[in-house]
Amino acid sequence: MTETPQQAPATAGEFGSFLKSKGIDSELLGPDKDSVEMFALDPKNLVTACMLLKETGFDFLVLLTTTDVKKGYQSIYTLHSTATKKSLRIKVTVPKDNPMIPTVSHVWSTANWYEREGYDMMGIIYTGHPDLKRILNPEDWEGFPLRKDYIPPSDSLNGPHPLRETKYAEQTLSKSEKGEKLCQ
Amino acid sequence: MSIVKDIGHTEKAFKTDEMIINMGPQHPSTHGVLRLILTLNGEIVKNCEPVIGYLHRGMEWLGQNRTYVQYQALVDRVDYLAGMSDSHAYIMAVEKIAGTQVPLRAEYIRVICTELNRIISHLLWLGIFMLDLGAMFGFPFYTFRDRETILSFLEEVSGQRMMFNYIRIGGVFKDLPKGWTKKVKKWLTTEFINYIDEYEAIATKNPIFLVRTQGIGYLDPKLALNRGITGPSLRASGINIDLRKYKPYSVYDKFNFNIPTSTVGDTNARYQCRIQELRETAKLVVEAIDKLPGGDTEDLEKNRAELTSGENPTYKAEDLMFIAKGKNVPMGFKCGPGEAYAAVESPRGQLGVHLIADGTSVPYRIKWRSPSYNNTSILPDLIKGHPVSDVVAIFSSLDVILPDVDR
Repeated sequence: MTETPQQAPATAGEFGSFLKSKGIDSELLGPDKDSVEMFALDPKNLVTACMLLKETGFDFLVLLTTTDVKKGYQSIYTLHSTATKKSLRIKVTVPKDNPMIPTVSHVWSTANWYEREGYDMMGIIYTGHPDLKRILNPEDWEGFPLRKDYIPPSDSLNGPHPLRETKYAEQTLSKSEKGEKLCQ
Repeated sequence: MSIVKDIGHTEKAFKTDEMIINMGPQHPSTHGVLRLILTLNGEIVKNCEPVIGYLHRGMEWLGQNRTYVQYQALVDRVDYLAGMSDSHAYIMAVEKIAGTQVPLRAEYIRVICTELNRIISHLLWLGIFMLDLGAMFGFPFYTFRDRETILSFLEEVSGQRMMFNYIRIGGVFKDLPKGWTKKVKKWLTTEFINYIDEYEAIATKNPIFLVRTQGIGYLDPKLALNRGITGPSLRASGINIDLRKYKPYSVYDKFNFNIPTSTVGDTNARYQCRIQELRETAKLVVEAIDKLPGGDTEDLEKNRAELTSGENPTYKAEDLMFIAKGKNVPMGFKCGPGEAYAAVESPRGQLGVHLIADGTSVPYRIKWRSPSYNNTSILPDLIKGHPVSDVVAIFSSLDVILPDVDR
């Protein structure tokens, strides 16, 4: 999030400095509300960093979230170590015109279905994934529903989507568009 | 000699192609709508591909197009057998970002209701599990009888039978009804304990049940952790991770309760873990009722002055409220910017909400970590090499609920 100013490079956290000692640069994004360390990684360093972190004890991939931010599409990995009870969050952002992130499904097999969901909902292509196809939506679904510019299809029985007709929905939608500036 | 020759001949002539069979989506024992594409060699499963999404309602998309308060009413539908856990996870995430302090009494009420909901969920699972194993004599009627009693308890509290919408931002919707705590405690300690013995008398040592469950569907602990399995299915494989003890949220650190575990890892172990958890949960509810700050609702008004006054009062005045002061949240409740992940131990495992807020009244991104989603993904590994009849038993023992998978 934007709570940390981007001009002043913050000092790396515990795991950020660990990765630095192994030759991988990361950008600290500050702690979240539970003071979990969050940092941004370059997509090309992701697999190496994940392998290193798994060796140090991060044996549990809790969640893989995908979001649509201003700079591009973001993949957020929430890791947990059952030995030390510590959590960590890695954020990888890729440009919107070429959203490609290497897969980590061979590191944690939890990622297999989560990456399929990420592809299905956000249209991020996880390169090297064994079976990248839609998982929750039908195979012939058009578009990626959780992108912010997604327009829901009209309902063949009830006409256009009701949310797009009500004035209230327009307000809330335009609000969330404004909010996009805050999230990056 | 000629006979042997003949048999050899027929074996060569006999076509042994693998057969692909579609199980579901409308199979009665798939707990919703799950389609399994099974590759069979005779009766033995060679490969399996689960196809999910038939119950996809776009919960995450709906959340991003509604305000925080509107979405509150929807979250119970994510996993409709454990609506309290869903609400608890979502509300905890919102409260973390908004920095809301929840009154102590509200936290206890949340624990009581969530744990009662856990009993409901396990009872439904137990009935359906036995039905899946072929206990066609009406075992579910026993568990549904008791489930209905608890559902009516929760209906008294929230006004709804299953979609409670009871846990709200800053506390709970209403205080417990008068006389409710005594009634629940009496039922749990005098009747329900005997009912669990009744279930165990039918199932636990039943030879047919043992043949159907022992040694079937072994789950390796390392594989389980790598696949993100949580809940009783993980604890039956010997890894004792229960968020209520492992990383206590709410007020779970104030109770004494055991987490049933097993190291066997088969279908029977998963059954044992859940049935022991029923006993532990019943004890936990009784303990929470005993420790409830302010005591029973009917006595609260006359005891309130006594408990909060004096030099060293037992409680502060705000501890005895059921919702935080001034937290009767309006429709346009705003929170953030910020990011939080809140997880609770639902009956099926770790249920989490990853919430990214941008300071408006609409969530920027909501992501559900539903335990059933990961628990389903292990199914192909568990059923390989087992006959088709075991597929249902193994799947049922994972306690997967499809609306939770598809969201």
